[in-house]
Amino acid sequence: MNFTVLTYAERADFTLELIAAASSMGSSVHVVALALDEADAAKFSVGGAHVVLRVAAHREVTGPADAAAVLAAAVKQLQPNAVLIDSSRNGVEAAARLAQRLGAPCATGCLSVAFGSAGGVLIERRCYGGGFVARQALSGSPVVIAVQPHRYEPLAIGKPCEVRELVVDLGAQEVRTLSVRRVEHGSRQIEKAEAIVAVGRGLRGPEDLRMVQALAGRLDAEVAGSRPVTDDLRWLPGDVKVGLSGHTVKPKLYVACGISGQIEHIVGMRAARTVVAINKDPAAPIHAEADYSIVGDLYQVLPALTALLSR
Amino acid sequence: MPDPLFVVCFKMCVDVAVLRPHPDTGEPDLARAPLRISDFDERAIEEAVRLREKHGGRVVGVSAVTSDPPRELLLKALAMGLDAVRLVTIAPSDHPGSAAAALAEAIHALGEPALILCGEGSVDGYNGQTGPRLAELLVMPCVTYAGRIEIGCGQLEADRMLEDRAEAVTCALPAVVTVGGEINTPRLPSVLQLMAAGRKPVETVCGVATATGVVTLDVTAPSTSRKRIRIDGAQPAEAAISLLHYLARDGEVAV
Repeated sequence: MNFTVLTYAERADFTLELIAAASSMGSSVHVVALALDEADAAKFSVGGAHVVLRVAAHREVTGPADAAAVLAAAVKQLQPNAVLIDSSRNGVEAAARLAQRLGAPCATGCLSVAFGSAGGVLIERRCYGGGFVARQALSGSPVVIAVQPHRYEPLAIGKPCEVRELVVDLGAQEVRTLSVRRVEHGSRQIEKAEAIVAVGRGLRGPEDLRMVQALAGRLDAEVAGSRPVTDDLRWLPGDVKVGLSGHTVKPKLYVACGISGQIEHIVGMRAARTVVAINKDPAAPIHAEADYSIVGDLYQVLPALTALLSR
Repeated sequence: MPDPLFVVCFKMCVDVAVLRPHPDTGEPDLARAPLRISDFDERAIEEAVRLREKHGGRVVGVSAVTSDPPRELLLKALAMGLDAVRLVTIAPSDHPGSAAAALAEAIHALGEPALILCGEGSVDGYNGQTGPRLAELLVMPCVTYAGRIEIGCGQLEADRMLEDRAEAVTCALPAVVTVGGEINTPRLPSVLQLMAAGRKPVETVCGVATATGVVTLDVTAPSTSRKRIRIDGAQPAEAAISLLHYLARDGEVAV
């Protein structure tokens, strides 16, 4: 059976992942990738897409409302079986808006996506704070899926495919951006970090972060925080939050200090290669999610580790 | 904008922090976990109450429910500052958009809201779809993942907290806004507020037919394969040495 899948992401690297995801959905999938400019169109045309649609509009495509308009226009033209969007915050909003407009089912935060034997789309996604994985079957035409980043490896570079223009009427901009403040410093770095030292409520005060940073320095690690420390206590900025509502990280080494191990946090660091936990509560759930756990006082263990590593 | 109407959509769902896999099936043991107001929805309630404190008006909570919710949760929502609650009954559904249509109809019946707030996603499903779907249904601008909200002169200004940037945005009211962890810390209602909550109105209305097209096949707990090696931390210096030996053996650190 031949399927057509449309892909869209704000970032080119995510579109390349979506192209790979779309290709993997079945044995005979026709992949159409949306590109916002010529440079991206060129990348996607050798990245495994069968057709690239380069968007032409009277103004720049900015934000999820515009993305939904672009996607609606492309869906009208192509009548795809599925639409894949990246599960970034903007991607989730665009996906939900598109789905509502089309009367289509939508699943976000998807870990995997495939066409089922009955023609529907099968997905896996985390639920209940990340402690469980749900498998769902979606039926409709199309089905809208937002796929988590870094689940699919971009395909090897191939022969260029056709690039066509897609004219889109974006309409007026309802939500206007006044200014943008980059927070790349924290956020990009913890996503790429090979080592992370994360801190939770076991820390007594923000002045004690120095002790955590000292260890992080020795390990060449980034400092991150659990949700209570970033959202409630505000000792660390939100962009270094690790957890379901924050970042999913996959470092080689993850050291969780004074973190109890709520499911919401675990899901963000589950992919780490080696997990170390330091928590003085022997019953804390974090111990079950660690390779090595020290049941002890982080105020004594962290300085001891730092001292040993500085030699 | 005299007497603004703020509407907060909130969900009462299982407390995921205490939800555990059933020992026999590995499926979520829902029967043994209590319900609570979804975390980010609590922050939406808090934000709406703060906006009323600043601008006057009323805050009405709306919630799509599949059965009678526990009274203490309704009282808590009211005690946090809601003036009234409207419950909309819907059939149980796996479709993440099923609540939006019912909520939109209930909101239509309330009058002309200035602002509709909800959490960025519920803690049980974290689909993040209800807010944007509501905006489409109500034909309003949508601002998701707001870390700061200000209103005035028929306009909304907010910071959208995205992965690698914070965008300051503006749009006309009425609008739908979703909020996350950064926006505020929800207040703990006092005993007096809890007692007064019992006198506030709670209405129940029937919702529209639920959307179809999503079926959950199964829900299981993924297996973790951590080594779970425990190091006694009673002697911190020795514990540190043990840990570093393990990490060096694994090639994680160079000592």
